Amino acid sequence: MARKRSGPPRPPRENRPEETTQDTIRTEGVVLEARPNTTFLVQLDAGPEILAHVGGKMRRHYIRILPGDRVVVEISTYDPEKGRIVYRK
Amino acid sequence: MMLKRQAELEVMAEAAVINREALEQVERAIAIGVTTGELNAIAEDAIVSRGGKPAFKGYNGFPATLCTSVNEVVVHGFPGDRKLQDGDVISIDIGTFYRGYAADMARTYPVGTVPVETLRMLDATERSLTAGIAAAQPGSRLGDVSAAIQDVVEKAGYWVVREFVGHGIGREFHEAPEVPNFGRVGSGPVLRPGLVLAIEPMVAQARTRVIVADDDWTAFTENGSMAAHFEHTVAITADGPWVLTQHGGAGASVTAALTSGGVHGA
Repeated sequence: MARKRSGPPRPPRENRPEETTQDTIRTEGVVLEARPNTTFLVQLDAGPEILAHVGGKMRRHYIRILPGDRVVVEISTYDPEKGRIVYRK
Repeated sequence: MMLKRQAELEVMAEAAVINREALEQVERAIAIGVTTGELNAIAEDAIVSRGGKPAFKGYNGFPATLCTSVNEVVVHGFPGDRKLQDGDVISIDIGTFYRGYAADMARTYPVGTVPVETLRMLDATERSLTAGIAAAQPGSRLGDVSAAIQDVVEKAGYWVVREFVGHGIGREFHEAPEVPNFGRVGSGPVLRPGLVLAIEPMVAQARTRVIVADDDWTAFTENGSMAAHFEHTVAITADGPWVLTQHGGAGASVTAALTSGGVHGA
């Protein structure tokens, strides 16, 4: 029985989204929980809980994220379960 | 990564024999008009009557002994009322626990008359498995196995499924490491004697993504391409790869494997 590959499968190169705002939805939520590998469980204001990592720009500026923070999340239209934290309020 | 001692490998070889014999029984029953549920019942009987335990049933909620994956289904199809039709290809994936150790294998079979392009894909997939096994030498790297598989598949003009991978196997059904069917020579962890891998190329006829259905299991090609899947459980030994699930890899039967302590196959 095959194992599901861990991590999101990489889409083929030509339609791999760049780390920009194209093909993403911006929304807000509250961090519920810190998960391994600097991912966070974020409860979106719209309802669903998603897994989000911290955007590279935020890492560069050492902006730290803690449970309870309100954050802006960019969600890929390819996988609505995952997102990138781009701003801490 | 769990390395197994020789005694453990021998138990795994026994599990593999039970598993292989059960698959051979299923294989003989494949025919036009047979349902996948009937094949599942045969497999379950075959495993249980040999003293094994179906490894898939209940694994993360999987409902059956076999994965029966027809045509565009790549892996993890549920057995049921579906009747096999002339021109189908069906992949049978089967796993057994025996005395605490697991074995895992799969093959894809044509049903009735199948287009020659499809047969060619089945052949390429099986050859890629053979190439992957041949690359699974002690001291080599995991990426060598992955690259060998990818090379055969892509040279034949088919698509390596990326979304699913092989895995380590032993006391747990899925152990580290993951064994992708694509990769670079010289990358990844070094293969050491005692490591046991389920090597399982999954191939689609044309480039596609693979989507998991709402049942959380059935994985099918997005563009409807036919898919193939072949798998062996392979132990890395100091003498090279030992294909536990291959005929002659562990003796002709459980008793032979018990008395001989296993034979190193090709």
